[in-house]
Amino acid sequence: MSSCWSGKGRFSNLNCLIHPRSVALVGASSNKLKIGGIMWSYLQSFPGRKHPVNIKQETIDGVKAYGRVSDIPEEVDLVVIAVPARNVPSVIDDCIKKGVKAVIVVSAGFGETGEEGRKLEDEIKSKLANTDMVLLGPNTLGVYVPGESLDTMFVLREKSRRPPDGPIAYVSQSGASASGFMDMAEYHQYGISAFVGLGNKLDVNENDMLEFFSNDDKTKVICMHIESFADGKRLLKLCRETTPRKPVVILKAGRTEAGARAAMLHTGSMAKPSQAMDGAFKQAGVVRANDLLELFDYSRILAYQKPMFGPNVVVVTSGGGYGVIATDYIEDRNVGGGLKMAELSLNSKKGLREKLPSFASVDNPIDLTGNVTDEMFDHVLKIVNKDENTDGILAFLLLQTPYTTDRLIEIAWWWFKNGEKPMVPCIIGGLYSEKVIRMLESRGMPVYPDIRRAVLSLRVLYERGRYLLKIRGKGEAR
Amino acid sequence: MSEKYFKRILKHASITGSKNIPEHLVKPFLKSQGITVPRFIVVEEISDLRKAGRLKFPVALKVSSSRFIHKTDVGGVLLNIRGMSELKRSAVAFRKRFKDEPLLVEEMVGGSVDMICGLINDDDFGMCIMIGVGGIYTEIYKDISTRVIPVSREDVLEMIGELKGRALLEGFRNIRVNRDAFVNLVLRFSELGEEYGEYILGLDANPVILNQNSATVIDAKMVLK
Repeated sequence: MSSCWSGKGRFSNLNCLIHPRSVALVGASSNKLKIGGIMWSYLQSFPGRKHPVNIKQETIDGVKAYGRVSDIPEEVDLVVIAVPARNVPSVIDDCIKKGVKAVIVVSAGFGETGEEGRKLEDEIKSKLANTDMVLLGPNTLGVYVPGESLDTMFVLREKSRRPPDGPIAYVSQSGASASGFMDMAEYHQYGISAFVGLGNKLDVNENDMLEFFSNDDKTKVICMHIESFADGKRLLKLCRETTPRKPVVILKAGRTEAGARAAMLHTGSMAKPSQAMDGAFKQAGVVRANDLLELFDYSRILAYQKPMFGPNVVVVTSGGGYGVIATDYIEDRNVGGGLKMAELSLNSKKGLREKLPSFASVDNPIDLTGNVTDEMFDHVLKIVNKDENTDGILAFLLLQTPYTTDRLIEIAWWWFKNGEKPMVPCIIGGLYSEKVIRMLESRGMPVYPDIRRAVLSLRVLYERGRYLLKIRGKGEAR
Repeated sequence: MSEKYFKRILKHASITGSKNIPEHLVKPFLKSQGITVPRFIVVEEISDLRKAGRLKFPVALKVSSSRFIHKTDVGGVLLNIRGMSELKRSAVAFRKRFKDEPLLVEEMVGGSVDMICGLINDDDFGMCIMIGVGGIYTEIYKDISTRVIPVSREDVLEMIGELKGRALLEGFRNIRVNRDAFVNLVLRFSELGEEYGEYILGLDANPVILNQNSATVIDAKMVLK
């Protein structure tokens, strides 16, 4: 557990939101069927001090409960509030009085429900005006920080598992999609440094968290799912400062008129579609995602693979059919990657000929055919990694061919980790393939069960490489 | 020098109470910013028509008023006027139809590619610049690219590269146009947006006609904040 910053001000209070020394839960309950009971039991994994606050009960699970936050006889960094909306303002007063650094308002029933809820939000906003205390939410799952074993989410762990510790910071304005996203992340062993649910963004917004994770050494990639911009100009400024060091991937939902109206009903945000977003994101080096799967794929590949410094892709396959589909997607500008099929050097082709059967194709896509062996596969990856005309590799790992063994997986893993060129692996199949994918992903190698997703991820690695070359003043990528 | 022309724009807005700026005030302003526009005269009184002797026929006649922003829709544009007597007849008729609003007489400019260039003050990101192919077809094909200003020459080239119709600027079927002139025009718009962004909600040049020599703003609409 890292210690809370001793500094004052908003930024160090944000640190207490993610790395608190002590946590109190207002609305804690011993009834495990209630939200306050679920949250209290999940807070038990947090190794720091934790205090239940409940106005009616003396103890919660044998721990002394306090009537109010200000009754707690020691400093409290983070207060999580899970009581009905109408009771929240008085709890906020109490937190301010106590000198709490950060609060999370999990409760719903605010701006997203209409006029009365908006009034409650305004009331809380005016209370916050004269303090540095930060407030996350309302209407949020709160935070999940694997490195701190801090979990304020009330979604059941057996139905919505939590991802492991890792390099990706995940910020979301939507709680339900976040629990689905993280369950999927756990399944694929996608590691996160922290999850922050923004909810209605009454106080803490995406820009605060972007700035925070931009300065967080553990975070290598920041991915955000938002429905409205709190301050688009500040977002661009922060992105310009961040993207030279770490990639930022943003899913902005509500980009059509109808979508923006849906977003307004969802979080009460004044979302408007922006015509200028695509260009603005490009200028700031932001990778744009259109849906959750893209957000997942792009943030993951950027965290686990190197950038691609040119558009030329080599496809390595032992199934010709895959190669043809991949070729279309690689070159297609509209539905695919808008990349190029690499033209292998004569030297590389000669090298390939040495170990491949005469009927295999040494042109790109390189087709090793059903006679592929582990050695052939290794040989090809060695050559294309050295090929001067190749910038990235799409590798199909065909597990079904008769002469390959489980060693093929080790070979792919080795080249993924040690190869000079970025490689995106693709495995298509059923139950057996699924098992292999799980195994590779648990080691930190993203594997794609879909050709188009694999190609678009290569495209993102190229976007990243091109952006880095551009800002380093090395001119256009190839 | 632009300052003077922009002051006229602000003055017009405050007198009429309209945010829509008539073209006869926008064009001189654009010209003062180093943006190519057709040679023109402004007709406030019929007697002003004698200045048309300076222009090369054929010319176009347009009504210029914040009350008639979509001039084509109300029949407020007449093209290919071949001589002075035809111009006079048309101008008198326009004065009658459009209640003595000012008229703009412009030389016709030929070209092979229609482009669009505009400034949009975006709610989220502030002043942005947009380019597109197609003039009147831009809206149908949505073949546009946008950036937040200011933009550099490299940015503009990247924007052109994003357009599906980029081939039109790159010698497609031997169509010869001065791409650099268009790039320069976009850069001037970006500068203009930086300088006057606090007043302008949007500025639309459509079409911008490209030929071998130049990129000329044919129609321009400006809306203040």
